[in-house]
Amino acid sequence: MNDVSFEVMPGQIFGIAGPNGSGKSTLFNLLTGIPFGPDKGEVHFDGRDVSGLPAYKIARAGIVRSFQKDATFESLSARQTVEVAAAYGRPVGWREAGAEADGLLDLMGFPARRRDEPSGSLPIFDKKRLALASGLATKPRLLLLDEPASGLTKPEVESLASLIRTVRRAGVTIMLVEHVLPLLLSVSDTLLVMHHGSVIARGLPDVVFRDPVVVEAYLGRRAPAQ
Amino acid sequence: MNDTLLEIKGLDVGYGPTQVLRGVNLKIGDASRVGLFGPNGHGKTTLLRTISGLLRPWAGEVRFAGQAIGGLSPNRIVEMGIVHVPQGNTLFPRMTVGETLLLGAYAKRAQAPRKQNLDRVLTLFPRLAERRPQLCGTLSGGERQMLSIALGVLTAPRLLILDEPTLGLAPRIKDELCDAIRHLSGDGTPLIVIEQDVEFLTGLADTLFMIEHGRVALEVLPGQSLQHADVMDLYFGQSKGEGADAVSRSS
Repeated sequence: MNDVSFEVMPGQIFGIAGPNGSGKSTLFNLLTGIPFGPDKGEVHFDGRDVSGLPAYKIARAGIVRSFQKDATFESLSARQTVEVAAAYGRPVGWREAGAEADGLLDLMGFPARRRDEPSGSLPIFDKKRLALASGLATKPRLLLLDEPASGLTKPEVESLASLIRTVRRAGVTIMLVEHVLPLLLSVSDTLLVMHHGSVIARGLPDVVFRDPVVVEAYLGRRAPAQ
Repeated sequence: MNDTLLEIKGLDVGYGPTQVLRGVNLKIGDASRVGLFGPNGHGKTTLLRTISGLLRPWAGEVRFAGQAIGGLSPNRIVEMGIVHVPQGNTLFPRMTVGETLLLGAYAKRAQAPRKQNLDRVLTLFPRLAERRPQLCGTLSGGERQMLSIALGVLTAPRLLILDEPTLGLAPRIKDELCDAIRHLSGDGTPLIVIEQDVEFLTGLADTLFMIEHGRVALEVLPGQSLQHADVMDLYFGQSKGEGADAVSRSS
């Protein structure tokens, strides 16, 4: 990561693209302190410097992330997984956590018949719904999603776009790292493109994806027609 | 019309009490580039795992080059020439790229053509030559996929199976891989590829099968065309619109 600066406004869906290995997930690591914060520079969240804080303090401040790989407790049921997230760091009883979990699973369209199944054996799109519900259960103000559309079919990507908009409507600002271009283009208000640890473009998605530097570094033949 | 390389008849397979594949029939020629697509959880990977011997058929037949292979062990199937590059990162993170490339030619059938196949993969993926001393755990997503495919080629396949080779890859790298895979099949290696990106698949495969609810729901043979609208209709379970005559829906 090399001298990266940007701002995310409240309520935005802030897309991040770039070649594999360009630093997108590292950026999420630095913002969340998992596993460590920046060597140099500052991260200000809601006016407060959170750079270098331990991960749990950053999470409690309201910055929460998902991971590329499944990070669920495989043997816990879907409902229990969200309950754990709902109870994390807050003095809530299990009954209240359970009600919150059901509400959030409903909001994310998680099928009622699968709520007691072990998280590890869920179909891929239900795992994605579960990850979003778990993230929301920690009451984030900024949710970082790391390649949530990976492995999804086209119709599932469209459903995911609608879930991400639902999360935003719930008052959560979103940063989205993604390679699935239809998702990035359909939900992002602003798009930032990274290459070799630096920001090479930032702006409206349509404009950024026509930038010759972005086409050369990232899009290749997938560039939109001029 | 090329000769049949792989033939599957009435295949039923599942996990524990759960049946996944239900009477799957398909035939693949010895010069085919086959694409498999369809909703998640409907049996694509299960089909590939059965072909490569990781799952035993409950019923039905799997024949490769005229021989029944259903229920044979995976190592015997590899020695017969079916090589399966699974989904995700299955490399050893603490081994170097160079060591991993040596491991690819471990099978008996792969030892004689090792030098020739190594030259082939390093021509196809010159980046792997540059990365030889590097640990696999430090490779980028694109490089990991290149190395995984290279391992498959080094095993001297008569049929190469790739399960979602472009998962999590940036668009440009995805296209580079598509070119490389097309090049491989141009060299005469038959392929079966699973992909969610139908655009990617239509650029690569000459035959497409859509797997839905554990069955072959759609076959697109060489010379037929598949419109994106057809796929969307099928994925959403709606009736087909324009282009209905371009593909044949199996019952």
